[in-house]
Amino acid sequence: MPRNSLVARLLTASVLVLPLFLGLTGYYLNKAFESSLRTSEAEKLKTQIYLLLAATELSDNNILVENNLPEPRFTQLDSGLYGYILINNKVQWKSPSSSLRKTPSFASSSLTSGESSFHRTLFNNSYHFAYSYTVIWEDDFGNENPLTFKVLHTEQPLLKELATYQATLFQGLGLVALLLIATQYLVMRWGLKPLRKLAVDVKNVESGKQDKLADSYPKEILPLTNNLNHLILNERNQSERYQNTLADLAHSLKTPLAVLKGAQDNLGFNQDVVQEQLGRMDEIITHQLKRASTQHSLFGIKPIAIEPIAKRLTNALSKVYMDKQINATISIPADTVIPMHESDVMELLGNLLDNAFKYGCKEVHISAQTSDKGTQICIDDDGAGFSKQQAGKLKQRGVRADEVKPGQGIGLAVTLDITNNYLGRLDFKTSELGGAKVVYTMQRKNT
Amino acid sequence: MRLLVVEDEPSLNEQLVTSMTKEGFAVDATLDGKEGLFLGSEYPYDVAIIDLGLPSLNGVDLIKELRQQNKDFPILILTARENWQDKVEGLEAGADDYLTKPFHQEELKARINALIRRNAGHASPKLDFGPIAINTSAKSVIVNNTPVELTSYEYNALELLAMNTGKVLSKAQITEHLYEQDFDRDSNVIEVFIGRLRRKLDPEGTIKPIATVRGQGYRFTLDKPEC
Repeated sequence: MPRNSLVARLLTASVLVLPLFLGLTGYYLNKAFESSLRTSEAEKLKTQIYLLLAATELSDNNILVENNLPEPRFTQLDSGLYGYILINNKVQWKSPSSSLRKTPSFASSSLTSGESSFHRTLFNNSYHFAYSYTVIWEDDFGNENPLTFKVLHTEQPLLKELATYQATLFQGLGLVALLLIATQYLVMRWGLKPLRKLAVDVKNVESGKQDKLADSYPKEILPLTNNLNHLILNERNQSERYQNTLADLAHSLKTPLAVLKGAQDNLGFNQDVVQEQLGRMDEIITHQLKRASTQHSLFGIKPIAIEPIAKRLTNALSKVYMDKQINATISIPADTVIPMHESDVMELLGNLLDNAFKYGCKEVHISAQTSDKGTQICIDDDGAGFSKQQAGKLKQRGVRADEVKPGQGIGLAVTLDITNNYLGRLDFKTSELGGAKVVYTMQRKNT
Repeated sequence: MRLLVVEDEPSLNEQLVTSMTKEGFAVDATLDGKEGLFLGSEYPYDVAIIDLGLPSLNGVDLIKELRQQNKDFPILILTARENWQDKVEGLEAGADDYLTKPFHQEELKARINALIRRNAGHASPKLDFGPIAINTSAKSVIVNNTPVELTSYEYNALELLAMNTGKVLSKAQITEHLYEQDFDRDSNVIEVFIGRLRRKLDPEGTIKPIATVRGQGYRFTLDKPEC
């Protein structure tokens, strides 16, 4: 999962907080259960004390306890339940169950009549719960004897019950933790779904598959998507406005320039300065117009098929250069596309093919292929070609390889502008046909 | 040769008319697209110069309409728009060449002459008919290696006949190709031109480049040069 993922952040927080929360819950539930077990144990032992009390008689300072005690564990050896009756802290009676056990030396009891105590004590190397209760027992002679009843019960059953409870509790809590994390993950996926859709939408707008972001977002995201849509629309309109304004400005200047040129040609005033300045004005306008028209936004570009454009251009140029009877061949698979504006592909190929038709003798060949690395378009001709030195110079703006054929080197400058705008590459080589080979390469963007 | 100019800018339109008339063309001009369509539909032009940005009917639609009416005279687009989209659209509509504004009159003339020549099926501006050689670019004629001086109308009549070698052209057809629409037509003028041409091209009557087809018109008799 990416480092800055919202899902990852929320899940990490949950994974950190949830064990703490569930751990504390488990701890206190365990504590409460243990406490309730102890209380229950105390109650049980208290009941045993009362049973003993009921079965006890004092005669001639001798304690007599019925043989058939209602609690059989007092009579079963090592049953875990042991009873003692003490007078002045001296054991006067002990249950048969403790016969095999060493009689403990009970510390002097500070209990007064009617008082009881419950505690945990070490007895014969293992912990037991002990319940003590002191009563004043009047004998036949009216003497009052302080009798302390003690019942000890091994803690093993309680520990076993506690362990069973703990196992069930922690299994349950673990399951709850997993369910909570899974639920939270699903809730987060569901909650963040609009953001994922937004990412896909933005990508689609960028790739030109859709014009704007959808309107079906939750109200929390809607202001963002609305603003983004405004931004996209404004950006498009502004770009279009700039281009239209520049185009209108340039085109409106072209006709007066044509009139001026025509007037000069017709009237024949050989003013070189006027000629030169008119030429310069024309070049500046042409250059700036072409440059402006290639400065498209790279946002929202639909991949465009190259082959139909190449076909239209070669057909048109075959007409213009009919005298040369050039054999123009196209080797472009129909599904070869390039992520560029159609008008830019038209300008790029138009300028390169125009040069090929202009400088080629009889053959012009255009080919293109798309691979994982990107798209490559090659235009070959069988003309004179150019030297390595010329090829190097051609990459400079406005430079021409010759000064013979009509033109101003603007077509190539525009081609370079388009190439730079799309972060592409233009290479000038020697063709197998014997003339020039111009290779336009556009690498695939890593998205 | 008869030329149609459809350009909405009055000054440029006037310049084109002046310049092409000087070149020897019979020029009809209009500032309006619909008027251009009417002229192109009604008269037998040899070539047309059409601006793309026209009022009432734009240049591309005008060209399409003319081609739909099977008007096959060559058309040169004149445009301020230099992008390939516009150029290709114009050429696809049926134009044969384009020229972007501003332009040199000489380049325009060269393109127009090339279009006329191409339309007649000649690859080179030098048309070699054996003893007679015509240079459509220089508008000059050489007979048996000797330059022959022709007037503009004589040259135009010869070029028209030579471009349609083997075909019979009526006096009316020749008149329509040589003069503007408002010219007062008189068929005798053509007879006079043909007579003068025969005398200048073939003073001894050995080549006989122009034959009279009785009741129909005239025919250029020399073989079409190889392209």
